[in-house]
Amino acid sequence: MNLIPAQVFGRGGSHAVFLAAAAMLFSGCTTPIRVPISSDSRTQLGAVNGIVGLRQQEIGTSINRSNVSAATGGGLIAAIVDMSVDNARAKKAESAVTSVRDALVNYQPGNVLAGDLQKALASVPGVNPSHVDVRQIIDPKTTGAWIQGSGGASVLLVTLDYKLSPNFDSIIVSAEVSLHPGGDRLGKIAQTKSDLPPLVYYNVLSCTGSLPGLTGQQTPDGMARLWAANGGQPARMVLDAGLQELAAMIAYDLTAPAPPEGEAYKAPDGAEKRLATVYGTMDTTFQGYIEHKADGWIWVRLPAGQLSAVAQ
Amino acid sequence: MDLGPTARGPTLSGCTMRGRMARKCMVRLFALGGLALVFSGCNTPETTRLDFTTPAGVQGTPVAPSKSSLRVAWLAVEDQRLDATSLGHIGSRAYVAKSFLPWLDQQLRAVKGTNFAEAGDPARADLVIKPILLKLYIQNIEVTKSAVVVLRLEFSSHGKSSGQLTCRGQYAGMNWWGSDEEMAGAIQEAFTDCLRNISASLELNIKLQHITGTASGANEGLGLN
Repeated sequence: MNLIPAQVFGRGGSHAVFLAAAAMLFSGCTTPIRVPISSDSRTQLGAVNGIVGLRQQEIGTSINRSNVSAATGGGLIAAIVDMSVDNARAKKAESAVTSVRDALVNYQPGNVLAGDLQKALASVPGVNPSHVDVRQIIDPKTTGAWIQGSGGASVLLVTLDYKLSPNFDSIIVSAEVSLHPGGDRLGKIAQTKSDLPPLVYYNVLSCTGSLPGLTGQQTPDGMARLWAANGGQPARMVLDAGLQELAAMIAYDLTAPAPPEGEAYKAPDGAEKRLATVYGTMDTTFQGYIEHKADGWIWVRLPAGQLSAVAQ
Repeated sequence: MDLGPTARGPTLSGCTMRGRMARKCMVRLFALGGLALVFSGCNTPETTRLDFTTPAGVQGTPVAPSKSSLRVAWLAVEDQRLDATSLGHIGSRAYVAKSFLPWLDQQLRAVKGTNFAEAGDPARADLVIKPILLKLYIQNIEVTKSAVVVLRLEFSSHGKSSGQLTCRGQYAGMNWWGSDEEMAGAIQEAFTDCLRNISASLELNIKLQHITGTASGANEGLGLN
């Protein structure tokens, strides 16, 4: 903080204090999000129940947010313009997605992921659920209630989200995964994260798939027609592949070790770097490093530990 | 609300509370508090129960069934959603509704057309319709709220299955206030759109005899919207 002389920012140095607080607030961007689990802890979990939770009932849409405020330096008028543009884009996306939703009206991504997880986790010692349920997340208390009501068993909770990219040129499946020890097991090492019950593993994983050979020249309406063709067969194919890859990533990440102390998810020497997006309330792109390449997919480890897969 | 000590010393807003500065700080704090109150609705994780009482009937000129119109009977709606209470989320706010199926039954029986009329008793009907609720939710995409309802209608004629239709209704618009009335209104708009589509699809398919078991391909899902 010596770089900020007090006389520049006022006598009391209150602005310097404010800046320091702001710096502390934003330093959270590099704080690891991933909570890794050790092999020792895994073997102490006992019986594990798997739950795939869904907040949505159909494939979601997303938009490229208008940036007039940022470009013009802010202000009320610019904010109103941004909101108006975002609203128009969202309405257009919700209209264009109708044919894809109609084609996928009987598609159950939760069941597909549950089946894939069961297969992928069969090879993970300690985390091999006897069954994986699919449930609707009703409100913020729902998942906590499921974990409390697991009857002493540990719970692997996978909150699934799936949506089309803003240009409709790819389908993104993402999951917030947490592992909650049952009973009093591992109580000493369990951590708390947001409003979830104590957990011993946590991460956010995503997988972006697109139609092979796509040039990206189509409009969202044109892309929607492509996804919905033949009763939604292209959309189902990409969703199936994405969910299978997501299950494989979850199984892998549950066994991937923690990074060395003080080197949180730093790219190893010689590792190939690549940009990848973290999907959530606000989609954000970071530079990570390639951790795994196989079967046409590249897995990118991001600075906070999230794992993001893109088709090669 | 505790505004903190009025004595000297730095406060969270970064000013010293003396004389005019103190007044300025108070104004700032009130403004911030006001803003926090205004926006608190967006971030408070809460569950809201919506009630459906207002008729979602299709607006427009009333239609009278012709003398040769088909007698149609509606069975009770079957809910095939993963959870029968969830209506989705807007940000961190969850919406639920309980026991609205009787309301939906009522709305479907009120659907009118020139080619069909309500028969009441399925035993006396030419066409029996089994409605299945597949989707019903509200969600947000940035500042826009979007409500969706999807119903599948399974038809049978004189005891034989005679096809099905999937009808979708949707509404998307700016989320102005995030109020319960606004969300309930959006869902009602989606229902109105869905009922309008059902009415139009029934008119067309009855006219073309696609769902009365007399035309070829009657057992295929027609999937009209």
